[in-house]
Amino acid sequence: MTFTIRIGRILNPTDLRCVLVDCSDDFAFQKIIATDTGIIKRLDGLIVADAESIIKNKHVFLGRRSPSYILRVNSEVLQSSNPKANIEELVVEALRMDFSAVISTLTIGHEDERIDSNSVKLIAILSDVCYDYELPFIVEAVPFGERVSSENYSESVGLAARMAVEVGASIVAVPPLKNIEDLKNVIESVKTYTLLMDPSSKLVIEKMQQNLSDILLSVLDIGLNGIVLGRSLNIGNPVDLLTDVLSIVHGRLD
Amino acid sequence: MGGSIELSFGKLVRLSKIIDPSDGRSLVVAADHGLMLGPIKGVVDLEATLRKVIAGGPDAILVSLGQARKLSHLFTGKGAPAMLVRVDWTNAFRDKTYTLPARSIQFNKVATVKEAVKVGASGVVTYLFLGFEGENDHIAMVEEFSSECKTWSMPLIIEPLPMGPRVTKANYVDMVRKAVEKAVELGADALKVPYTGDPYSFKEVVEASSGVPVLVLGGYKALSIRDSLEVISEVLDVGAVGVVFGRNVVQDPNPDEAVRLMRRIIHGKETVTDILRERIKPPVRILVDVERCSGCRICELACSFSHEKVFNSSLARLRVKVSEDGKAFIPYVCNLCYSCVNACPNGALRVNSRTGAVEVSPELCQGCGVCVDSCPVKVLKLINGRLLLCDLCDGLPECVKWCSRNALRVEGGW
Amino acid sequence: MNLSLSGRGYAGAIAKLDLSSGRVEKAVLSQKDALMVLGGKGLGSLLLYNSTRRGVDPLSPENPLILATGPLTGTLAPSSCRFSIVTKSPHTGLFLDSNCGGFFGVELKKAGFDAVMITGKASQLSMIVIDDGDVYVEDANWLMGLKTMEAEKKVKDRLGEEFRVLTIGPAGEELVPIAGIFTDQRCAGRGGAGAVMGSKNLKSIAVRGEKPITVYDPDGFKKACWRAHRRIRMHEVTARSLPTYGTVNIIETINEAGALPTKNFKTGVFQDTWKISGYEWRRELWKKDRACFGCPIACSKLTFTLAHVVDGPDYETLWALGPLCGVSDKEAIVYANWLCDAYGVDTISTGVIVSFVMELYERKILKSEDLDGVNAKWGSSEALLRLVEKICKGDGVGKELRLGVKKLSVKYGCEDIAMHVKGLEMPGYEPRASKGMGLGYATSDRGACHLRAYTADKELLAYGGAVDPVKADGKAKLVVDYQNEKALIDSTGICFFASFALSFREIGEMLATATGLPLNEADTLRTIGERVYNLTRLFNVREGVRRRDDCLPRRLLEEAMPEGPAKGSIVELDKMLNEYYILRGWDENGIPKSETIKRLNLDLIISLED
Repeated sequence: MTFTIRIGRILNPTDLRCVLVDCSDDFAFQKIIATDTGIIKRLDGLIVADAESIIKNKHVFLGRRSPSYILRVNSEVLQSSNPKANIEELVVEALRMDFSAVISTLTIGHEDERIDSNSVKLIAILSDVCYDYELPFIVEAVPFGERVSSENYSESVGLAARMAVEVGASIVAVPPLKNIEDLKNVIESVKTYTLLMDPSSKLVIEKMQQNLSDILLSVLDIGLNGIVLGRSLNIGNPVDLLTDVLSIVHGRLD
Repeated sequence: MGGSIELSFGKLVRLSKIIDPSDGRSLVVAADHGLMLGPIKGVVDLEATLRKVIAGGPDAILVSLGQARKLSHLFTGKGAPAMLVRVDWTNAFRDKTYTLPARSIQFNKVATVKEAVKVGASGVVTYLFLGFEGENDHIAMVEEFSSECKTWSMPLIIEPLPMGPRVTKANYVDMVRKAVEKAVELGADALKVPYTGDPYSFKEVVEASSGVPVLVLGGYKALSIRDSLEVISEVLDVGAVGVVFGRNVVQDPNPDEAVRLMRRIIHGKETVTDILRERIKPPVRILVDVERCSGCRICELACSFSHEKVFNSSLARLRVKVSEDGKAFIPYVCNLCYSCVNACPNGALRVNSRTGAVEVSPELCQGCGVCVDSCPVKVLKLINGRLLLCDLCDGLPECVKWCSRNALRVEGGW
Repeated sequence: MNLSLSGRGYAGAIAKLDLSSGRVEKAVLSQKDALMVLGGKGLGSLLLYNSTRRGVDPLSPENPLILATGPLTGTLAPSSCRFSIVTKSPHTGLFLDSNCGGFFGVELKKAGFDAVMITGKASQLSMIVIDDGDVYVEDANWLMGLKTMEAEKKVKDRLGEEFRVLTIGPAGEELVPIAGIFTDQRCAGRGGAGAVMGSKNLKSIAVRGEKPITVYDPDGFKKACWRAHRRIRMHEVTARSLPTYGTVNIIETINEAGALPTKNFKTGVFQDTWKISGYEWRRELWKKDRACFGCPIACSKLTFTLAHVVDGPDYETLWALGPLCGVSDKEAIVYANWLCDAYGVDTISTGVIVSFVMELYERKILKSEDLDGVNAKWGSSEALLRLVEKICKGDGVGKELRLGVKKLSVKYGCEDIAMHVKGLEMPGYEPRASKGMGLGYATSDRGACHLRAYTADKELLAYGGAVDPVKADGKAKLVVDYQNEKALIDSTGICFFASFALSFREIGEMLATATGLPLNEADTLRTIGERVYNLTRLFNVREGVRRRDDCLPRRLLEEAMPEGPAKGSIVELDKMLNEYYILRGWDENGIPKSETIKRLNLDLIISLED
C-alpha cells in the first residue's frame, strides 16, 4: 500500500506506529480537550463521530504538527434508498474537511446472519468509495453477537480481520487476545498495518494500568503498529495514561 | 489568517498547513519547473533535491500532480512540508533561455482539483496572465478552478502575472496590481506575486490584495543568495506573509542551507545584517579574484559614495588598474599589512580590534604622508590634509557588497 | 525662475565651442529643460533642432556635433556610462543619435559639463582638450592618419592616463559617410558621426575631470541604485546570458526563429550558426569579460589575437561580417572587426555593403574585374577580408563601396535588394520573420535601426510573454511603446541592457532621488520618451521626411521568405504603418499633428516653422 500523505498523518513514517484516541462519544471528546492540550498535539489522530466536534475545536487542528482527525461511520448510513450515494456524500464531505481517514466496524457473530451481512455490505461500499477518493479506510474487526464465545473468540477475530483486508481496508484494528501467538497469526494473515483496540472487557479494565502497558509492549514486539485508546481514558488521569502510552509506542521519538 | 470570514473549514485547516498559524508566515519551495521549463538544473533528480530541501524545513513544497503521486512519501510525518499541486501548464516562461522558446502564449489545465484532494494536497496553484490576447480565456479557466476549489474546500493559490505585449516598462507595476485585483476577484485564497523591485510600489500591491495572503515569487536564480534574503526581508516588512522560491532554492548548491537561511528571515525574524555579521568574522580580509574583475569600477564608486556621499573615484579607498597590455583588470585593496601603522612617526594610526581595519586619530595626524608612501598597494590618500583610508566599512565592506562578479569577496560572505 | 541643476546628478553646464573662432561659451542647463527632455538623446535632440535650420549640410561647419550625458551618467546607477552623440548624418541627411558607452561620458561630466556642442571648423587637424572645466583646442597633425587605437594611446601618452579620448580613424578624416567615433574600444558607429568630426578638422577630443558628481538625496539614491543593481543580479538576461555570452547569446534563437538575415537578406536561416554561437566563441576566442563604467553586466568580451586585443565581436558585428555574407570563419570575422575599428567605420554598414556586393557578384552584375580581382563569393573569408579592407582604406573600388548601399544601388539599378532604410544599412533581424522589427526599421528616426524599437525582445526572444513574430496585428502598438521607452532610457545616461531588468518605477526612483525633480511617476517618464521621439521626428519632417520614406526595401515587401518558421511571409508594411501613425497622433503623411505637439508641450521648447 503506497505510503500516502494521509496514511502518513496517521502512522508516523519514522516508526510506522500511531496512538489514536477514540472520541466518538462527545463526552469523551470534551474530557480529552479539557485536559492539557499539549498532550493532544502529540497524538497521531482523534476519531470523531462528526465534523462538528472538529470545527468547534479547530485551534487544536491548525498547523502542520497538529493531530489528524478520523471520521467514524456507522451502519445508519445504509438506511436510505441510495446507500452508495449517501456514503459518497459522506466521504466527499470528509475530504473537504481534510479528514485523514474513515473508520468503521465490521461485526460478525450475530444469530441473525442478516446483521452480519449488512455489516459486510457497509464495509464493502465504504471501501469502494474510499478507494476511489484515496481516503484511507480503517476497519475495526470486532466479533460480536450471540454466536461469539471465549472458545471461538480468537478465530472469530482472525476471520473478521481477514475479511476486512479482503474487502479493502488500509488499516485493521483488532481487540486484544489472551494468547499472543493467536495475535501473531492474525497479523500473519492480514499483512497490512494493524492496531490494537482498547480492551473493553470489564475484567481487563479492573487490572488496568499495569496490564495495558504489558499488553502494549508485547503486541508491539510482535509487529503491531499502534493502539486505539477509548474507554481506558475514563479511568484515572487520562494525561498520565496518554503520556505513558505515547512513550511506549513511539519511544524517544517525541 | 487572511480577513475572510467566509473561508470554509476545509480551506482554513489546509491553509494552516501552508501558512504557519503561530506567526502567520510561510516559506514555500517551488519544484514544479519540470512541467513548464523541462529538466532544468536542480530538478533533474527531483527526489534527491527535495530530500535536501526538506532537511531545511520549508512549510510547503509545490509540485505537479505526477510528481506528487510519485513522491508523496516525502510529505508524510509530523513536521513534513505541506504539498501544493500545480493544476495548470503554460509555455509562456520558455523564453530564449530554454529549449523551444514560445512563439505565442499557450495555457491548459493539467489536473483537476479532485485529484489534488485525493493525493492529499493542501493547496492548488494556477497562473493568471494579464496583458495578452487570450486573457479572457485564461480568466475563464481560472474561474473554473476557483469553483472546483470551492466545491472541494481546497485553497486556491493564484499566481497573477503581467505577461504579453500590453506589458511595458511604464505600466509594469500597474499591471501587477491589476492582476492581483483580478485574482482576488476570482476567489484566490492566497497569492504568489512577483516583486516590483522596491517596497513602496510593493506596498500598493499588498494593499490591492485586500487581505488575501501575499507570497512573493523568486523567479530566476539570483547571483547571490544575499539578494534573495534581502528581498524576503523587504517584502515581509510591507505586508507579504512569505515567499514561494523555486530556482533560488533548488539551484543553490546547498538547498537545505538555503532553506534554513530563508527560515531565519521569515520565521526567525532575523535580518540579513544579523546573519552576515554572524558569518563574517574579523579580521575582515577582502579577497581579490583578479580573473573575475571586469574593470567596471563600481567598487570605487560605492566606496567614494559610502564615505563621502559623492561620486569621485579619486576619493575611493581602493583602486582598479588596467594592465599594460589591456588584458587584465586589477583591483588593489587594503590587505591589512599594517605597513602604514608601523611607518607612522606620530602614532596616529592604530588597528581596530573588532574589524581589524586601520584607523586614524585626526588630532595626531600631521599630514606628513609617510604612510601613503609606505602602502604597498597605494590605497592611502592624503586629500587637503585629510587621510583617506580603508575602514572595512565596520566589518561589512561596501565594495564587496556591490561587486556583481565576486571579484571582491570576504570569507563567510556571499 | 530656473533653478540650477548642479548637485542634482547633473553638472549643470553645457559647453559650446566654435572651432572656427575658437570661442568657448558656457551655457546653463535649466531645470525646465531637464523636466522636458532629461539629458542624453533628449537634450542632444533639443540642442540639434534649435541650433540648425532646414537643409544644413552635414559636413558643413554649421552642423553641430553634440555630446550629451544624462543625469545618471557617472553615478552608482547600474551601467551609468552612457552618453549620446547627436548630429545631422552625412550618410542619411537626417537626424542621427549614436549612443555610446565606455568611460568618456563620465569623464565629461566630471570635467563639469553635461553636454558639449561643437560647431565650426578648425583651420588644421585639431584636438579639443577639456581639462577639468578648461576647454581649449590644440594642433593634432601628429595624429593625422592614425588608426583609432593608436591615436587614443598617443593622446594618453602625451596628456596622461587619466584622460579619456574620443577619436576618429582615417575613415573619419577622409569624410567617409559610414565613419564612426571611437573611444576605449567602444563606438558611436552608425550614421557617419565620424565624418562630421572629420569635416570639422577634429581628430580627437580628450577629457579629464576631478569634480565629484553629487546627487540631491544621497541616501535615497543609494538605496534606489542598490535595488536596481539587485534586480540586475536577479534577472537571467543581465545576470547570466549577457555576462556569459555577450550579445551573441541570442544568435541561435534568432536563427531558430528563421530571423537571422543571411546572404543579403535572401533568407533568415544560416546553416552554420552553431559554429559562431556564444558557446563556441567563449570556448575558443574570448578571454575576458570587460565592463563599461559602472556596469555590473560586462557584456563586452575581449578576444586576444596574436597582434591585437579586440573588444568583440558583438552580435551585430558578428552577424554583419558573418552570416549576412555567408561567412562562419571566426578568425576572419575578428580580423574584419579589428579593421573596421582601427580605420573607424561602422561594422553593420560595412557588412551590409559587402553582402550587397556579394549578391551583385552572384547575379553577375559585378565581376571580379570590377572588384580589383576579388571573387566575391558567398561565404568566402578571403573576399570578406579584402572587401572590408578596401572599404576601410578606400583602396580601389573601396572608394566607391564605402559610400553605402543606397548610392551603390542607384548606380547598379538594384534598389530592391539594397538593404537600407533612409540610407542607413539594415541590422541583424529579418523583418519578414519579425514584423515588429520591420515596422521599427521603417519608422526609426535615424534610418534602419534595431534599437529604437527592440520588439525582438518579445517577438523572437519571448521575454515577458511571447508575441507571434509573423503576425502583423498589434505590432504598431508594440513599436510605439518600445520607441517611447527607449527614447527615455537613452536620455537618462544608463545603458539599454541595464534597463532589461528594470521597470520605469525603479528608473524613476533613481532619477527622482538623484535630481530632486518630480520624475518618479512611470507616466511622466513615458511622456518624456514620447516627447523626445516626436522631437526627432519633427527634425526629420523639417528635412522633408514623409510617409514614402518610412519604407522597406522591395525584397522584404514582395519576396516571400523562402524557408524557416516564417516561410512564405512578407512584411505588410502599409497596414502596420497606418495603425502606427494613428497611435502616434501623426497624420497620414507621417507628420505629427498639432494636437500631439501641443499635448507633449513641444511647442514650448522648439519653434515650428510650418
